[in-house]
Formats: sequence, C-alpha cells, structure tokens
Amino acid sequence: MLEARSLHKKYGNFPALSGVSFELRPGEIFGYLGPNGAGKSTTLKLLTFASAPDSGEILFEGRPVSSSATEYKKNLGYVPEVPFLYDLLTGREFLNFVCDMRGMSLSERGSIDRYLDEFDMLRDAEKLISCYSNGMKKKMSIIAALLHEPKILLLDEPTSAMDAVSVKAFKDIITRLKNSGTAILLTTHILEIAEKMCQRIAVIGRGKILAEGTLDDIKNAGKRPGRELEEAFLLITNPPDGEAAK
Amino acid sequence: MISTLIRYRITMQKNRFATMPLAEKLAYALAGTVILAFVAVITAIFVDRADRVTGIVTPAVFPYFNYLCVLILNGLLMTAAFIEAVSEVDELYYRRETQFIAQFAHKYHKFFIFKLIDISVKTVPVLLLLFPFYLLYIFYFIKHHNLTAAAYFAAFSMLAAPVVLAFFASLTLFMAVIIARLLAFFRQRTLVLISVLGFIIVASVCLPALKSAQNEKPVADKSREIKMAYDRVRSATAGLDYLPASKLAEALTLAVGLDFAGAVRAAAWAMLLTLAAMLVSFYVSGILLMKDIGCLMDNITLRQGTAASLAYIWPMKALPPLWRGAAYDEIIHAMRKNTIIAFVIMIPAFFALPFYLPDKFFEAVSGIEGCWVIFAINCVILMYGSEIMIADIVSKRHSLQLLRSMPVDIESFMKAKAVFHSLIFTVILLIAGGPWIYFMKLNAAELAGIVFLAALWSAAGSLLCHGAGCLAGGLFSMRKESDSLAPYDPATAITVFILLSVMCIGAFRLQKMGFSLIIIFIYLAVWMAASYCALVKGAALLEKKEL
Repeated sequence: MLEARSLHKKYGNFPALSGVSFELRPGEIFGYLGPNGAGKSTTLKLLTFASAPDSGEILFEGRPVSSSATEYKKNLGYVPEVPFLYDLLTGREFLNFVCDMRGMSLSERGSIDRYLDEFDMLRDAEKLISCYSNGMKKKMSIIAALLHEPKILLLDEPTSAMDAVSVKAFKDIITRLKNSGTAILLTTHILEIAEKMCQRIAVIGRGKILAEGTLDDIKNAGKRPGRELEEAFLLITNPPDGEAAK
Repeated sequence: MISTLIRYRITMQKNRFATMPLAEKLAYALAGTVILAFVAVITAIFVDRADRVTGIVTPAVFPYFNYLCVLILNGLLMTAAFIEAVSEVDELYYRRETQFIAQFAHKYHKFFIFKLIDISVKTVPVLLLLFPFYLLYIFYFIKHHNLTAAAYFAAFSMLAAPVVLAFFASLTLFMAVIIARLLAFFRQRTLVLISVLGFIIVASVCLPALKSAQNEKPVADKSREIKMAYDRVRSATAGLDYLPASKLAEALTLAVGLDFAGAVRAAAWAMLLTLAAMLVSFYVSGILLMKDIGCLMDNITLRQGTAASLAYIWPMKALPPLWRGAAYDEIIHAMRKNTIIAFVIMIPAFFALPFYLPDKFFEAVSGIEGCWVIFAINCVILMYGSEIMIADIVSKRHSLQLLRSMPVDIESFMKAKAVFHSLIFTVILLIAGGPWIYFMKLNAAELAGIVFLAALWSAAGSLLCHGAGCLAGGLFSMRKESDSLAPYDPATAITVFILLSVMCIGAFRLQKMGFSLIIIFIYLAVWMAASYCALVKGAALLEKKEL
C-alpha cells in the first residue's frame, strides 16, 4: 500500500537517511524501531510531507505520492510524537475542527463520541485542551488521526505519557483497525509493544535499515536464534566490534 | 479550509475571553480605551482647529502631501513587514501548526491565502498611526471639493487598503521564507553580517540623495522650495514609485485632477503589482517552505545552537552565576527569537542618522531641546525592547518553571535581569539613539549629563518592564496560544506597554510644561521606586503562581 524506495536525506553534511526502503502492507502493523537519532522521525517527516527526500521516492498504491498528494493525504492518519493541539479549543471543538478540515459531513462524525468513549474522554470533551494532561493530549491526537478511518496510519511514539488503561484501549483499537485492513506504521521505544503488536519489524540505525522481517527474523538476526527482542535490538543497533566488522 | 481556519480562530478568541479573569479583561478594556482615545482626541483637535487644519493641505501642495503620506505609509508597512517576517520565522518553523495543517488534503494556495489574511490582520493596527493624515485628507476634500468627494475618498481608501496590505503581506511571507532559508544555511552571526552589508549598500545608494535634498538651500519662493525638495526626495525614493501604495496615491492625485482614465490605469497597475507580488511569494514560499518545513526547522535549531551565541558574551563569564545565568538566558533568547537580526538592522539605521538627517536638524536640536529629540528616538527603542525584557513572564513559561526548580528565587533573578537590561539599553541608547554629530558639539559636562540621563532612562524603563511585568504576570492568568510550546500572555504585555508609554509621555509632558531636569529626575525616581515595589510583590506572586 505504501512503499518507501531508497530514501536519502541530509541535514547539512549529516546523512539522516541513507537509502531507506520498506513496504507497508494492508492489514499489518509494521514496527519501526531504532535508537535516538537513528532516523525514525526523519522518515516520518518524509512520509507526512513535512520534508522532501533528497532522492528516492514514496509510492502510495503504486503511484508516487508527489503526484497524488491530495489522494494520499485523504487516506493518511498521523500521530506525531509531540501532539499538536489548539489549546484554546475544547476537545470536542478540536475534533470538529479536524473533521471540518477533512471535509467530513455532520453525519460522518459519529466516530467522535465513539472514540472519546473508548479512550474514556467523554467527560472531558467540553473542557479546554489547555486543561488536559499530557496523556489526555496524546489520546486526543490519536482520536483526531482516526476520525476519517484512514487506510494508512503513522504512529510516532503513540503510547508515551498514556496510562495503562489508555494503552490497553489503544492496543484494542489499533488491533481492530489492523484487522479491518489499515496499514499501520508504529515507532516506539517500548519493545514489548512492538513484540506483541507488530507483524513485521524494521530496525533502523545511523540512517540505514539494519534488519527487517518478522519478529522471529529479527530475534534470529546474526544467526543466533532464541534471543529476546530487546537483546536482538541491542545487538543490531550496537554490534560488538567483531560483528560490526563483519 | 480558509473559512474553517478563520472560524476556529474566532472560537479560540471567544474561549480565551470567556475564561479570562477580570484583571485581564480590564487590561484589554484599557488597551481598547487607549486606542479609542487616540482616535477621539485627534478628531477633537482637528475639528476644534478646523480652520488651521484645512489650511495645511491646499490644492497646490496636495500632490506633495499625497506623496509624503504614501512615503510614510510605505515606510511604516515596510518596517511592520520586516518585524512580522522575523516573527513569522518563529511562527512558521517553531510552531508546529504549519506542519499540522499541511497534513490535511488541501492545496497549498489555501494555506497561503490564510497566512496572507492572518498577516494582513496583524498589520492593520499600523494604519491607525496614519489616522491624523487620513483626517487631513477628509478635511481637504470637504473644504476644496464637497462631502460627496470626501465619501468617494473614504470608499477609495477602503478598497485600496486590502490591495496595499496584501502586497506587504506577500512581501512579509516572502521575506520570512528567505530569512528562514538563510537561517538554515548560515550561522546567525554570518546572517547578521550579510544584513549589515546589505543595509550599507542600500544606504550608500539612497541616503546621499536624501541628505542633499534636505540640505537644499532655502529660496525666496516658498512653493518653489517645496517643489525642489519634493523633486529631490522623489528622485531619491524613485524605487518606491513601483509599490502599489504609490500607484494608488498617483491614482488619487490624477482623480483629483479629473484625469479619471489615468486614475483607473494607475489603480489597475497597483492591483497588478499586488497580484504579481502574491504570485512570486506563493511560488517561492511553496517551493522553499512547504517542501521542506520539517527539516528546515531542525536546521534552524541546529544553526541557532547556544554554543555559537555564547561566544558573543565572553566578558559575562566573569560574573557571579546568578547574573551570568540571567544574561545568558536573555542573549540566547534574543538569538532564538531572531530579535538580534531586527536590532542589528535598526542600529545601523540610527547610526546613519547623521548621514541622512540635514545639518539643519542638528542646529534645531542643539541646546537643551536636543536631548529630548534623542530621547524620543530612545523611547521607541525601549518600547521595542520591552518585549524581550518581559519575555520570561509573557512567552517563556518554561523559563519560570525551570527557575522554580533551582535554588534561585525569582526576585533575585528578575533584579539581575533588570540591571543587565539597564546596562544594555544604556549602551544601545548612547550608540544608536544619539546622533554622534550632536554629541561631538557638547562639552564634557553636557556629555556627562546625557550619559547620566540615558542611564537613568534605561534603568527606569528596565525596572518598569520587569516590575510591571512581574506584577501583571502574577495577577493575570498565563494563557497558552494554539501550541503548548508557545505560551503567550498578551494582557501582561499590553499592561507593560501602556505603563511604559505613560512613563515616557509623562516625562515629555513635564519637560513641555517647563519643569526643570531635576523634577524629571524625581519623576523617574518615583517610577523606579514604584516599579521596584511591583517587582518585589510580583516576584512573590510568581513564586506561588500555578504555571
């Protein structure tokens, strides 16, 4: 559904991305893991039109997104790591604003109350966002990304600042969306979430994809089967001198 | 999309007003009253002295008056556009709203038009400064033509305003994108040097002609003298003839001369120029901004890193930690806000004063009156600087939060900052505010008096900004703008600005009423004492305030 082909991006002389390629398929959660400064956020910036790649291309349903930007954006939901919300709007006003911006009619907005209820936010919907905690803001940002039922969902550290009950609700919703055919890209530092939710995982480091495959593929990377994801992740991103040389 | 964004902007303002505490509402009411009072007082003075006022503009001098007004209008809007462009760099790149809106499936031109409307609305207050000129036009049309002509002029100016504002809004957005691009590629000090170089080149081309125009030897025939001065000024500012406001002024002059075909042609040119500016701005901002906003933001942040800025202030290293902290905080804030670029453009402009102001001016201001002209300029600098002085309370919420977690009390920190700004503003006032040719004519005692007055004026201004800022900040709620990263407390900013204006205008009124300098020193000392008390009380309130 969404394909990144050999993406390159430099900040001055610093190569943030060097030939990153991956594919996002319908009905799967694709984990995109990496240490700080590995290139995760840069990748998401390219996928959300916040930046243009120096070279390489992004294809949506086989067509370059640069030539079908409007169609691509209509099908895109994005949850940034630091949510952007209008603090002087109430939660409900903000969600209605997002619906207006997406051109959704009043009859299509039933999902607002449904998602507010699922995230236990109904009682706070009429409060100003400036009164919300960080976790509540994160939930509001997730709801805003889901309202138009996107075909592609990009989640940047979605569970940060959320409490355990909300994380559970989030997992349920994401699993339901996956089962309905949504293609989901998830970046997270919490390996347990990646381990439980993702069908395929890519590990990025220093701007390059270091490993990609199913959970078992990643665990077995380097022909050392039986490792936990955490151990495998650490080995892939910080290989011992000998392995790095190989 | 545009109507949605405007509608929700209005909703946000309604929500802000609904949740505003009484003290903040009163501050807004006071600001509104000051604006209305300005309009009412000017109107009352003009009506009261109608005979004299209508004599100012006669049919013979109408074209010159028209040109002068447009020159001022262009100058004001150009300055506003530049200041706005510098702040738009922050708006466009640090606030993530642009990125947020860009994710929706809308064409860029809609966002562009929204930004043009947004910038134009912010620029409208500048037009208020031209209200006296506007009244002069109305009086002119009533006296030399009739009421219908005055009504036609009012309608013309209403239609002309969007054309002029749209042009400058396009210029603002264009400049903002160029500044941001430059910031992403150069270190700030390199950019500052480029700006100064650019200014010197422009000044060397424009200013000599302007100076020779103003130094024109007086001739017996008054109207010939005006005509000669007009021709020289016009030749020095010939480039401005191609701005839409100038074309509209030309249309007005032609219409008054009953050349309606020429007037329509000039008005059409104005609209074409605005459309051309919008198109250029649209493509440049579309290509340079939207394609790469995410990475530009990172690049700018990298280029404005603190390591580079600290090199500017090496003498500060010798200061005690609290004072050093206050100074570093301010310098770095100025760097991050790009304020330094605005200052660096302003300072050579003031430095160049002796080169473009005629000798007649210095002869006129010599003696005791002279320092007041200089301090009028200084007041403007102080007003501009007030925003930086109160930034901790108005827009840098994290700064207070960080301070609270440290073994430093807010009162000491604010006092250190007040002293730091006093020194900085004294230096700025002496360097930028005083034309050096004037200073050179003074003897040592007079010079010492000027330095003392500059120091006192700066200290009073700085203490007032910090004191009133702390007290208002402690009393008013600290609201956040549309982004949690950009809190802003306009009520405090408005309060400080009004009090600073009252203090500055009060000193001038006392001088006008014939009070001696000693009385004015006492006047400033009273303000300083009141400001100090406000600082102590306000800092105590800020210590307990929920941030």
